[in-house]
Amino acid sequence: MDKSTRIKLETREITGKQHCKKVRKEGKIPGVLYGPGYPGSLPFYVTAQSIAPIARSGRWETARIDIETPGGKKELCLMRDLQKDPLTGNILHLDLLQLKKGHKVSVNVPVEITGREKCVGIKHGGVFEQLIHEVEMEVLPREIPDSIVIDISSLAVEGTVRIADVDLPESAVITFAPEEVIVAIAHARVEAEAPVGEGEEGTTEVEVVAKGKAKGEEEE
Amino acid sequence: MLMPKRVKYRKPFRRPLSGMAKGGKTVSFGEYGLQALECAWITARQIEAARVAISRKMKKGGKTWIRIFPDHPFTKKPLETRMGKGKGSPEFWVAPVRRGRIMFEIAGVPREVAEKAFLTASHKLPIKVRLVTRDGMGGE
Repeated sequence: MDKSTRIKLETREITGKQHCKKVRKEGKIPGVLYGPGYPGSLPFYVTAQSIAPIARSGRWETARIDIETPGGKKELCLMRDLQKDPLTGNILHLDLLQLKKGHKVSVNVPVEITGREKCVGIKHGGVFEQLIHEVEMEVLPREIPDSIVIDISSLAVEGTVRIADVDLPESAVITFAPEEVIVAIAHARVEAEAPVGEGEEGTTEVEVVAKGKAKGEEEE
Repeated sequence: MLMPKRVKYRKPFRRPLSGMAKGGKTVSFGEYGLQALECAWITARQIEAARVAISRKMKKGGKTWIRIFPDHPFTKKPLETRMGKGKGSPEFWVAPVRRGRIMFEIAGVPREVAEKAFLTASHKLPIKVRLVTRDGMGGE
């Protein structure tokens, strides 16, 4: 919550896909900075090394980043979006949102579950179910939590943790209803394993919607 | 086995399968996902075999999601038939999977169980796959 990282931004004057591809090969990552002080958004580069620790932490949505703009201005930012290559995991692009003191910002705070190994309900054969993975809240920049930590070690079967049970920062306004379930320990359901039937695979039972086509094919 | 209830055309064209998946590239429902690293047509039979393998390894615990659906018919001509005389008849259903696509997701089990389940499931699939964890999942 009180950790912040300092990153220096470099000016990016040329935009576009081809240029970004070239730049990524040089170890730089393109991005944009926007917010109340930047109505037209500011394109920039950062070095991959400087942004990698935040991106890999799994908490980039709530990490407050101290940046130094190309003009030498110091700002506090939040990473709004992080585009990654789904196969290599390389960072492709990032969006930074300028934070303003006293102005609330909407953040998706990840839910962190602890004590799963000691959970009473799971030991008694219950199944752990996490229904909400991120809690969206409007909160002051200095009160943004890293994550919402929920300890489920004392949770029994049919036990639930709801939004109302979670400790949140004073300024936080949550968009979820207080009775919404975050985590539940449900009864184990035995899935009936359907045998792989040979006859089931036929395509004859499928209804054809397109007019004329089905009729014509039937005649063949 | 998975198959559509109704389709617009009985024998659609076979469209080329290349490039990256357009969507379904992130773990959205569970904690761990099985990601395709190659493009392929995954048959309904392969999906079912992988699902059974996963549920057997997970035993009673956890929850499974299948993120792909075999909505594309695969046609074949009968054996010893001369070429021509029209397109063959639909034989089975396939899910066109491009690389990067999350095919299965599971939740409610420790990582070791997820690894074992997906390893067994990978043996039922014709492509290279890997386990991916939900982005932002912390703690244990």
